Amino acid sequence: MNYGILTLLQWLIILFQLGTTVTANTESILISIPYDILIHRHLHLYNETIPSISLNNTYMQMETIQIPAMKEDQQVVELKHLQTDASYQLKLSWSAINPIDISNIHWEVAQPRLGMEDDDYPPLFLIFDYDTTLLNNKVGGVSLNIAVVQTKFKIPVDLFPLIAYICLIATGVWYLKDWILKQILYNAISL
Amino acid sequence: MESPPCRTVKWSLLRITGIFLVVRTLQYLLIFLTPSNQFDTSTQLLLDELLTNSQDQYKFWNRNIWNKLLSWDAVYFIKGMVGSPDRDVPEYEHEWAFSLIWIQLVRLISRSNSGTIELYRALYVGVLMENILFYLSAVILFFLTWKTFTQGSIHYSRGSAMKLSLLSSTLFILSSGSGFFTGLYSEPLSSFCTFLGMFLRESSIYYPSNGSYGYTFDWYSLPLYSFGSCLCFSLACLNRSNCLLLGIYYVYDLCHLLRSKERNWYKIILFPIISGSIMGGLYVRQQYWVPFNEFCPDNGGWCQDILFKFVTKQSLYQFIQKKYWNVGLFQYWTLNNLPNFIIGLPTFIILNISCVYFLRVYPMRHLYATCIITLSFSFIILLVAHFQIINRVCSFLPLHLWYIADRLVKRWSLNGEKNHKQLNGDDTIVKLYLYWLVIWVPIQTILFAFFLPPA
Repeated sequence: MNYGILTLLQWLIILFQLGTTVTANTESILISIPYDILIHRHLHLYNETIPSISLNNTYMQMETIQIPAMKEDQQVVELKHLQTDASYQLKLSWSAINPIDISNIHWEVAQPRLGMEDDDYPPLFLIFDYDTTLLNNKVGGVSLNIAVVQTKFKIPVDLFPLIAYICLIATGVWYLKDWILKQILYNAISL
Repeated sequence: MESPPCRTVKWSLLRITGIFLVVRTLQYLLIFLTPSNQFDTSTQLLLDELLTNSQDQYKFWNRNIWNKLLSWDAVYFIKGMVGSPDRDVPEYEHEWAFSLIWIQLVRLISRSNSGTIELYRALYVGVLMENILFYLSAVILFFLTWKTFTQGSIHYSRGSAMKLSLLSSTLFILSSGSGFFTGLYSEPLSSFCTFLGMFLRESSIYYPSNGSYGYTFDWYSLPLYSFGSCLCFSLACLNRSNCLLLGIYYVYDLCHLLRSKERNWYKIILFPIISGSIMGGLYVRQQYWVPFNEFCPDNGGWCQDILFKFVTKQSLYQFIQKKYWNVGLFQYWTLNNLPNFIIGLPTFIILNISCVYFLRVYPMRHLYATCIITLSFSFIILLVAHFQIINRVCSFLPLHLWYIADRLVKRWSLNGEKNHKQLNGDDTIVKLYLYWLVIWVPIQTILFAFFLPPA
């Protein structure tokens, strides 16, 4: 692999890291859960009505939740089966056809439920503010996709196939670039 | 002006068609092979909301090709195209930023007998029209290049002009925004109208045969100029507001006619003044008068600062850009946008170098207006816009394509194949830009299909 491809790879990693921070109608955060996180538990966020998302035996999971229209409020989502000493990407996507604003995305750890004190997984919660006041009144609210993805080297693992694909194409094109240009451009002017 | 030799034209058009088909096939193949689980997962939500039967989104071809084309701005376009029976204007304020002309054009063609517009039908029609307009733009650019480089102060041989025309069109097909033009973007409509308008304007200009730099307009060319070019430039401008810069042609022609010895006031009024006024008037109507009647005076914000009757301090478009996309002077100049500046930099450099080339190195007087438009465009993008969009929105400009094509033709005719490795400064820039283009176009196509930045 030559220098050009290595530079391209480095650039792609930087781009993905920036890209995972914010896009037009996707907001995301990268979280690292320390191994001693349970020491810091202090919140009581449990409520039977809050939605949850579980990462049991999988590297990524996505759930669709509904938030009410014409309202400014906070939403809490329970994150189940996230391990300590690991990193994850929490990603929120909504359709750009609905003008909503999502902000202040963060996570908290809570007191374990009664009887679950010895559970291996820390009780985590995703919390964010939403503003749907610009939205016309929609019965049933507006849909929001929430995804939890494991990360390696600060890159969400669901991006690995894409990175491999781009690297493959870029490498192929890099080695064939002179041939491609000759076929498309130089052959035209040499005739 | 010489006519291009018929046999060579046929061969060139066949070659352009072949290259277009091969490049587009490869791009759609890249899209097909891009993983289906997009980074931004909102396309599924969009389809759930807009489809009559939401299960249609899981059909094989929809899942593997068509759904991937509904990324970034295509979301707004498809919403407008599908529309709603009880609404013929955008639902939300910010949707006014997306070409209503392009949306209405696709709606007109994709409407079924019952009057409804199904999402996938609108998508198929929109993508087909996008490809047709992109292809036709390349064809018109071929004839525009031939006309531009075989008349006036420019003395290209027929062979060189033909190579230049063919290369320009080929480069346009490979242009830095072509990944986006696999979908529903409005740029190809503006490219088509701009190149056609430039061709009609160029056709209406009379260059005296004494080799001087002057030019004038014959009366018989009045319809070409004041109807043809004006209609095309106006449509381009109504479709994408950055094409307002095409009005510089009329200002340039006005200054030229005012400074000429002839100074025919009838021509001055009926050619540039009438054309420029119509174009400017339509722009004011679209950007100020229609939104003012739609939103003001009830709406706050931009409605409050009225300069004159319906003319507000900010147009609706400026207001939307600032409010929803944080567009404004130096607003984009932040550290986290550095990769986006790097992505747009090659195109910015090539646009500016092409201006220097045609203004200083090989000065071509009748390209001066195009140089002014190109310079103005690139600096507006640098200072005000999301910089990386330069790759996409520069598609209505032909100057950098002419610069690259000219360098390739000159280098080839001077050195031939055996010595083509001896490069001067311009040739090195062109070579690096072409390498970047060959790498960037497939990556951009994949990133677009995966709904991942940069947009």
